[in-house]
Amino acid sequence: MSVWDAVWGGLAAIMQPSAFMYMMLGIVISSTLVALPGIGSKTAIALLLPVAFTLEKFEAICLIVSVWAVSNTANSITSILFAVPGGSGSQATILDGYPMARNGEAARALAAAFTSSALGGVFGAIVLALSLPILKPLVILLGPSEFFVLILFGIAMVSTLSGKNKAKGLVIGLLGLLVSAVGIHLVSGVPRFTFGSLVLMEGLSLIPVTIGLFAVPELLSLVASGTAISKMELNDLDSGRRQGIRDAFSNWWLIIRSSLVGVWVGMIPGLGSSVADWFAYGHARATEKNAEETFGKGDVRGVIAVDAATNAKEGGSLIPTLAFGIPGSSTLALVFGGLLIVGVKPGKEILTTNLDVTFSFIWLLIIASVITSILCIIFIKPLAKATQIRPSLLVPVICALSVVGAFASSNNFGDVVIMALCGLAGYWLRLHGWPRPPLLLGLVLGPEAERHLWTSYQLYEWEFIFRPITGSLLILLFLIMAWPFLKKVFGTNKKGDTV
Amino acid sequence: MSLRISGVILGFSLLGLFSYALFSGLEMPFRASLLPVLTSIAAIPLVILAMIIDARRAQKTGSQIDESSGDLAVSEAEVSTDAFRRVSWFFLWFAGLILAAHLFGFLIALPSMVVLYLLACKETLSTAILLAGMVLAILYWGFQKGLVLPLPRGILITLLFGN
Repeated sequence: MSVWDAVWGGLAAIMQPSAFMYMMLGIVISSTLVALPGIGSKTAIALLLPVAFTLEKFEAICLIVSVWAVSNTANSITSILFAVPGGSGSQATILDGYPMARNGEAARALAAAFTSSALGGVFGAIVLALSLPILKPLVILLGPSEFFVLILFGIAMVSTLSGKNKAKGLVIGLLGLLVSAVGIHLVSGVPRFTFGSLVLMEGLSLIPVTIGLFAVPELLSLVASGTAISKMELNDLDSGRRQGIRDAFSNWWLIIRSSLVGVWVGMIPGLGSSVADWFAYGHARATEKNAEETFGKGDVRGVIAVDAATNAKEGGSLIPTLAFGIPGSSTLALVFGGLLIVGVKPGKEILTTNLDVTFSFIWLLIIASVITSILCIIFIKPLAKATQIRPSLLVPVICALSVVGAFASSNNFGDVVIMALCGLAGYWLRLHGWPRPPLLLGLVLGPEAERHLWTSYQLYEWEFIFRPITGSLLILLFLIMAWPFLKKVFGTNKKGDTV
Repeated sequence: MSLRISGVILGFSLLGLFSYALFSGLEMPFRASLLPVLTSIAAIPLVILAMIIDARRAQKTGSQIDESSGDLAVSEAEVSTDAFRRVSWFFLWFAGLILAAHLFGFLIALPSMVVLYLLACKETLSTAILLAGMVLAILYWGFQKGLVLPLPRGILITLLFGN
């Protein structure tokens, strides 16, 4: 398939009426659910996976990818209006967005945020498209041992960036790998950790585990806090929209720079939206004129920089996902799982024989970003009102949908029980600061890791770790893991020397 | 039970889990044991390290909440006695929902349990019926008819009325 065939093939596939309809559905669901703090994009994707399971390939891609691609856009609503971050990617939006809302410029801030989100999303997609010619030969160059270490690298990066206690993240990532081993081993036929249960013999399905780990604990969190998502009054949202759009276009150079920051952060597995927004904010504050005096007090440039970066990040995070099968973020791990369900396998295949699928992602990033921003600008008020729904109304409905969603994945009631147990485990882990995203990453990447590990062992025995690229990656991985410890040791020595 | 004790139990549970995986992995054929054994060998010292770091942090800050986690932050309101009471109540309801779904089938159990939850939360009867109707519509037209998913009828209903 030539590149141009793939470009137009990808566009034609997502513009089919049914696929387009699912893209619109994904956009509406994402914009509504993600606008609610606590109900993040992961919950939305987890609840949609059972539906995607029954769809055609491109319909499922449109549904899942659009939910993920636009999740950072609607996040800004609660950040700007109520200083409540809708998700991890919209924390820095509060710094200038909320003061703008308090100054009576909520509509301007929202319009600027949505416009820069669209521009950032398009920029990220273009960078992804331009990087494909470089990625293709690189991926073909890598063998099983390199892929195995890259998988470890991906899990370790997500784990090490999971807060101060990095060991916790690593443990949970390894737990994910272990959980992926549950079931009958396909090659040897040996049952692993099944305890004689028929449900476990087939292994743990991604859908019930995901719903349990991500949707149920968030519902529990809503129940535990016992308050409405937002109790604040909605200000006048009708004026200032045009000014916000103009602000975004007049700060085009800031958008390009912030988008580059976003793409760069996205490309490094494990660095998520929560980092991209702060990096972009820091960059804008350091480089923009008079930023020291105005940033933090309601400067629209603070909002523009953050929203452009968080959306551009998505294009960047697709680069390691498509090329090496290493999801760039925990949400992308879910998307990745959903794609595996419908038979789309990232890696060599998606950059060679299935190149049209890759381009459908790129088109989706562009089209969904633009449509979402336009819709958000039009429907600012009803979206903001969604944040005032009481948890008592939200919780039982989402719970009922979670139960049927878990069942739908395999028509097996055992999966409902697995979902409930994973929900309990997820809540327990969250309560004690053990991050859940690495578990999902381990679960998704486990089978691939095992396959590459075995092939590497067969080809080179344990000497595969001394192969040039594999060894270098392992050393790099060790240095990243040990860096806080090394810094402490060498920092102390240096201090000791000078005294 | 205090949050700290619950955290220690979680740590020891993980330790037990990986130890079990290691020992049962050693009894498996080499190819099947590779991933579980390597994973467990790496995880066991890390669990101990994580528990030590946690204990030190708790001693230093005096806080029961690990705010440094990369996951969504837990607020103080979520760890209050009142919050635990609400969460326990929710789990009872959730367990009831699953049990009812198993006994009476999805189409009867899920909307009924939604009504029960809403009434317990002091919502009006009309709101409860409206939302339960919405859930029933999604289940019936969305999943059973739209996605052609055969929703289970429940073992009690099957016993009483047959297939």
